[in-house]
Amino acid sequence: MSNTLIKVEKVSKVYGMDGVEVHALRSLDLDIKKGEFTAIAGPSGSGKTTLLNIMSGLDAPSEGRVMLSGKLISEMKGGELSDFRRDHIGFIFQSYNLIPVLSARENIEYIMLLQGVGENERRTRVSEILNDVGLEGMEDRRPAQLSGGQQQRVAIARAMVSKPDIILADEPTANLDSSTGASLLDIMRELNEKRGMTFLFSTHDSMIMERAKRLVLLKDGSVDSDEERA
Amino acid sequence: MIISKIAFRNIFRHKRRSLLTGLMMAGGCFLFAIFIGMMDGSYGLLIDMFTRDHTGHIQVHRNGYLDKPTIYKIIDDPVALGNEIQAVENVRSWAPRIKTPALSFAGIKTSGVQVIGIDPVLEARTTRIKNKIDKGRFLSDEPLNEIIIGERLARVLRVDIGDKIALIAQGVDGSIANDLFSVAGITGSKEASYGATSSYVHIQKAREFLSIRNGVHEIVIILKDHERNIHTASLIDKRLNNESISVDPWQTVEAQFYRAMQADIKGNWISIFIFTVIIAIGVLNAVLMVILERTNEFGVLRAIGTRPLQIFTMIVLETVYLSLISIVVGLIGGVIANWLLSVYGITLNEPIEWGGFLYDTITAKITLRSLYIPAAVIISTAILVSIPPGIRAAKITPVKALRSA
Repeated sequence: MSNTLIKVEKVSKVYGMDGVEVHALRSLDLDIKKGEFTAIAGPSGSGKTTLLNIMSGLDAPSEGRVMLSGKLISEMKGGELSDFRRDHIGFIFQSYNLIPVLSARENIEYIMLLQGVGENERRTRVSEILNDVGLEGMEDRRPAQLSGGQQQRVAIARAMVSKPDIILADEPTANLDSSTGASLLDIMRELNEKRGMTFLFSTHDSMIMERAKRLVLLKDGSVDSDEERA
Repeated sequence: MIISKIAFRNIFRHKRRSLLTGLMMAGGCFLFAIFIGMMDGSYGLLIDMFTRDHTGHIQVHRNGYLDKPTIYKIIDDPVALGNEIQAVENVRSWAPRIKTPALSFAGIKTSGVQVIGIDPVLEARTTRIKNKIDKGRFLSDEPLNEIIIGERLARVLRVDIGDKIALIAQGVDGSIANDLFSVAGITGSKEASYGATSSYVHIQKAREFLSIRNGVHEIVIILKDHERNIHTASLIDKRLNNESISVDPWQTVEAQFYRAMQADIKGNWISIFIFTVIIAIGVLNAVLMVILERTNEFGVLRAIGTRPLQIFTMIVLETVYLSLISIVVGLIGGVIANWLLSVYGITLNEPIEWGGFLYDTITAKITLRSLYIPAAVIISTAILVSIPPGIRAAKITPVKALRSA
């Protein structure tokens, strides 16, 4: 049985900007396996974020296809795509992007509420994840009452709590100081090892690249190197 | 549930904007409530004056009398009919009338008049003509050659209390009817035109004057609840079960007046509609601002799995919740204002005439519709204007929205 979680096949993305075609991705192939802790790195404009967006179904490829958990995500649309993202993908954004009017607990619960997870199950999972990300006692605070690092912990908890197949993190440490970023990466790495959760980062933060078990370097929309690490 | 919770809390995110938008809706609701309250109060007062002073809530005639009133279309045995009418639910009282056009003379002055023969006892129980006497007194219970005239006629004929007026008309037997009547009372004031030519004599004297044995031309009915007059008219019609008699609500009896009033009311609704459009534009502007400001947030919500319909619902609910709070505030203000107006009113410096009646006070009334119409208008406007921004938010492409951060 295949261990591949995401299969990117001959994906190209062309943007039209002021009548000029910009090739963000060029016939790119990439496989992500279950349990990986992978960083996609490269200089600005190399296509990292575009690739992440296409892998998550937020953007559609101009050519090629993307399979996630055996489903052809690149051809899904509307409510089906929303439901698929909700159930299979966890997102961590650079700017945390929590819902400002919800408390930390409610933010973490949000996706489970959309999924219709029962109250008892929600409570158990939230307690566990709050413990994992070190946010006990802060669950009733709203995002504005939390520091950047604490907000990103909530974002990690929100991404993980619904038990998605993969967590996609776009520059998750970019807005954090190095020690906070390092501690968050340690948490994610621990969750990866403890729970077997698959992480895929888009980054140019050397700290993430150092901690990644696999490093994919992009250049001009193509894979320049793909290195497995111990 | 979570979508509803987010929508409610979002109201308090931009307090000043929500306050201004809410004030606009609450203000609109408040003004609508007062507008409708004053409309109901003023038209209610007008209808009350019109019916209680003159026409009654329902009238009974011989068939065709309203289309072509003649002295020959007589209802026989009015007492028996009156007793039947009195037995119908919602009927407070009734009074018989005899009516004829006549020519009045006083010295060298002359004028056309509408002579109305009334039973002073039954009429006093039914209409408020007795209370309209500004000068002199009402008719005596026993049949005397007395007449009540309007102030305008008194001026034309240059007569006062105790002066004699000669009336000439045609009797039902074809004879020339003529008699002398002494002015017992003068009704109305100078400006009111309705009923200015009406003159009242004792019904027995009117019968003698027109050579009518026992019948009457009209039976006026006053109800306990005048708003059910159309239904009560049909009940009376069924009870009388007489094909030669027609039972009509005041809206039919005074169709022209009723149509004029309806046209006036329609004009008021047009004003309300224009006002609603202004509120709608204001609310739409506020909701569109919300969409523009929170584009990135909607992108995130879409990215993490919120369905487009849920985003749409969130936007509509936000507006609905704000409108509900505004409605409560607006209606509380509206009820207080309508209550104050109903108790104290607004006294006009100069009385104004509408439909032949003089107004010197603008009043209001707390009615059910002065509550539910403003509420329905505001909430439906809020829902309506939140739909396009809601669709816009739901259609946001997550990747583009996320770039807008």
